[in-house]
Amino acid sequence: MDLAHIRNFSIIAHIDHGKSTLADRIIDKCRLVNDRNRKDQMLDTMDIERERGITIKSNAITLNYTSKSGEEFVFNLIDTPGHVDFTYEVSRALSSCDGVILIVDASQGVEAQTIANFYLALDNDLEILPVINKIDMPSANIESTKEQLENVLGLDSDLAVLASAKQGIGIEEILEKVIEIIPAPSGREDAPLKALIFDSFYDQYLGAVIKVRIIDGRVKKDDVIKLFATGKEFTVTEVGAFRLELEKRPSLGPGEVGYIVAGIKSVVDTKIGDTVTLAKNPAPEPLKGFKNVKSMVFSGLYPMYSDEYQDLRDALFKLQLNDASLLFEADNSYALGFGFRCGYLGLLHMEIVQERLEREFDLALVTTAPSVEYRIYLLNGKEMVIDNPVNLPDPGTIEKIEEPYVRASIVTPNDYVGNIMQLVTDSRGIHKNMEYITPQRVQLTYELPLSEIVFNFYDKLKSISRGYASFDYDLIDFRVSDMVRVDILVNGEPVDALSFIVHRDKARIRGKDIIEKLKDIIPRHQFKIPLQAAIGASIIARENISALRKDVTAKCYGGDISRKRKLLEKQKEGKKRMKMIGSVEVPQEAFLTILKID
Amino acid sequence: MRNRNASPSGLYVHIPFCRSKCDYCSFYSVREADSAYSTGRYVQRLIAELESFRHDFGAVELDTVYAGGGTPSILSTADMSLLLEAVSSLFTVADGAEVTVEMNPDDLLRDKLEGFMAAGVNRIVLGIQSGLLNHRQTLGRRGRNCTESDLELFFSVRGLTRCMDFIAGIPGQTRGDIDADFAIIRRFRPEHVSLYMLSVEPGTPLEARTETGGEFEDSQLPVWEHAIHSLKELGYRHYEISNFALPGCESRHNMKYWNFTPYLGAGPGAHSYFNGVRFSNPASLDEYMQQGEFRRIFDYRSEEQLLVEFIMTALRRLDGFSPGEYMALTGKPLPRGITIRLREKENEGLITSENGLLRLSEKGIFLADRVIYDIVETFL
Repeated sequence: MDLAHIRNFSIIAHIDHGKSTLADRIIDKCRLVNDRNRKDQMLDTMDIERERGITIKSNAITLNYTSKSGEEFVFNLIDTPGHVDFTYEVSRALSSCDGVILIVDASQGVEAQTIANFYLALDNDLEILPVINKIDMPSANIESTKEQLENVLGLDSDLAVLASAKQGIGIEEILEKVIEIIPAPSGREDAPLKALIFDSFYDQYLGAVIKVRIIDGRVKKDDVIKLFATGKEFTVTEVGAFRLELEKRPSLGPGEVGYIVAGIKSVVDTKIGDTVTLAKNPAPEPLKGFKNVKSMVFSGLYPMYSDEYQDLRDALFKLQLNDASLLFEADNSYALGFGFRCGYLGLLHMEIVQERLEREFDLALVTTAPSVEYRIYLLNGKEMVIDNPVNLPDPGTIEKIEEPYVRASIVTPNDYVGNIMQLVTDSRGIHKNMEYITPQRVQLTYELPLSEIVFNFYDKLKSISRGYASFDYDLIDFRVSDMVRVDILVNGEPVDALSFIVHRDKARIRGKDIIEKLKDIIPRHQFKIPLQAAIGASIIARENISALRKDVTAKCYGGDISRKRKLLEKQKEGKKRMKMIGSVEVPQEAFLTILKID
Repeated sequence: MRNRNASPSGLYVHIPFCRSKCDYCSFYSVREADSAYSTGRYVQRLIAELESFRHDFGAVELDTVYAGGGTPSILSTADMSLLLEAVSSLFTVADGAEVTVEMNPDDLLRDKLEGFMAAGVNRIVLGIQSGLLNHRQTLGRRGRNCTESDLELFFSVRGLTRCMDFIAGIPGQTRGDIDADFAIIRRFRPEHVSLYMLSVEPGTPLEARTETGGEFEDSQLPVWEHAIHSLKELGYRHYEISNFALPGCESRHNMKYWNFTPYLGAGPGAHSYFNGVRFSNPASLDEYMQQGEFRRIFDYRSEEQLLVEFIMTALRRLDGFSPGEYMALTGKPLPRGITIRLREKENEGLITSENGLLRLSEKGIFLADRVIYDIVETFL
């Protein structure tokens, strides 16, 4: 295929603006599917993606399109994750494209992730085809959406295609505009191989399969390839294109998008953003911009039943085969026993990992409160980085602590600005900017500590704005903060899995919230149980669980002895979910409460 | 399968109809007015089940019969006569057998009392629960309260053992309220009193309007404690966690539940323990009425489960039990794991031992469920 008839593009949008539906319509139009193999969200292959209506993994598909003028084109549509946690993956997927379709919902207008994705496309020098979607909705406001494209993003709104992916309106026009606006790829057949890895996945028969965009050169079966990031070499066993399934091809050349199988055992070796070249005639330098993905959020992950430790370990390894951004290492807690410390890209990533472990591997888990990474500067001149509150050194030895800050962009109807300002102030945010997108909608820019975002910020934002505010953030730097560790003591014993790091001003209220919740969750014992929150030796909050004096069924249950016996058996079952802290039985759910306080 | 049981059995007959359901009740019952089946038809069906017992087990020797509910006193005198005649003809009923019927104050009428007695009833359990209007409202207790003349009638009949049921631990109930309720005990001295502690059951209308939890449970304790002490002062023996009797007037039927004596249960949801096996009927009235053969759900228990049941029931008996009873039941001594735990509980002051009999101490009674759990935990 000559380069002039290839188009590589991606669709970017704020969540729910219709990205997956438009992708489905485009696939329809290119007649890749028939009624027999059609389903919704064609490019979202994981159950969890379909259920939540989100895209987690990047995906790609090669399509054939005959233009109105009768010419045959190859379209490589590269689908990207839509969530802030996966920004790095989006950015890599975009760098494999030459242009993007930017969808804006005609009723919602420009949202926080529209802006974030727009800037990602600009950073990658991509041509942008704006599409105003859902124009059939009664609440659609095409004029206002056009104004927002002009005013907020500086796009020529005359270029925008008016469409309804759901109703199939404007699809052909979009495809014709793709040909017109998005440039054909450039690249040289005779140059050394340079292919960008924009994603990878694990297949139980093929091993790690890498998804690539070929920039220069050509790759075929039996070539020995080299991965720049690790220097490792592998022999290619298969290359091909993404159709509904993998489709073998003799080779992949400049401008093409496809996959390479090369006996790679684990996706951990296939770093997203890395460059593939040939061992024999290597490119002198890699494509620019590769970086190791960094974990932003950390938490402990423990099996509910200690005999499932090995199962959890196996499950994490299996997940990691397909998700190189999941990091974990063995850890153990006095309260929870053996488990793992895990690093995630963000909160959604954390939730998804936990949900997949529970659903796909049928594991019952206890997770500890999510934490961010802190930089600790000691009085003796040493520095350390910690992500587990337990590892915070004695405060007397610390000179200062730095915590990560993000730049957050919030787009909201102006009715909620007051509420949001209050929330951000409560979350130690610093107001940076406020800009009207339309007379009714505002973009607010803040700098705030990531540790506050990790702490239910997103849920609260959604609830105070009735779901209307959208949110996006980028890590900017580390700043000095007055952070302390709060320990929770049950019957005088500190419970390591409940310790957390928090700003000193918030320590008391958060400690109090937690022990109040614990008071409801820990069952009464035959003795009084004091609950305390402490910073070092100083107690900042306390409660008591009074002693149990009555535990008796004094009612009539006739001759139904079996029922009573089964209740005892159930009680024993429940007790398996208890962890012993000294002589106190603490239900596992106690460890989750720390996640659920305001 | 012939009866291999050593002692005479009990027969429980379930009458699942109520005029309307009380808000605290979680037992299976059907509003009489809504029922597709008349009480007459239901009694015919019960008799058919008794015939199936006869067919399967022969002429079982009975020394107690107990009609519970629901509201068994809803039956007409004629239905009650038919039922008890069938019992007499299908079983070998011992002389002096205890024949009990639960009765609601609504049914406390001379004709019915005399009619039931003529049919063979010699023990009536009157469901008072609480005599105070505000507590009856809190409970959502339907039906009418007992009047002075009801009680005079009840206690004027000769040849009847009279029992009364009360509930302690109703939200808002005070010790003074218990004293007021117990005035009729002082005056009439029924032979038997059952004192239940209110448990707010999931799914009941009472649960929907009641704040449960630690504080509520704490508030129940002193009232219940006071009620127990009052009954003891009045000369009643506390012989089972919820049951009190003047000496010699203990319920023979209910004790069968606690000491592994066989009993058969007829009616939807009724439970049986016979030939060392537990079984029960499906709970649905429709299924009970419409099925051809009576379907029995068997609950086969492992050795451990039998042990758990033994401890669970034995500890409810406040006259105490002897570890030898377990040997008699199973041919084996109590496992060491149990005797060690029993000793621990004795050291904690929750169990007392006297003349080789073990029982819950006064403190242990209030923690009975916990004590039982701790003792049998490793066998669950």
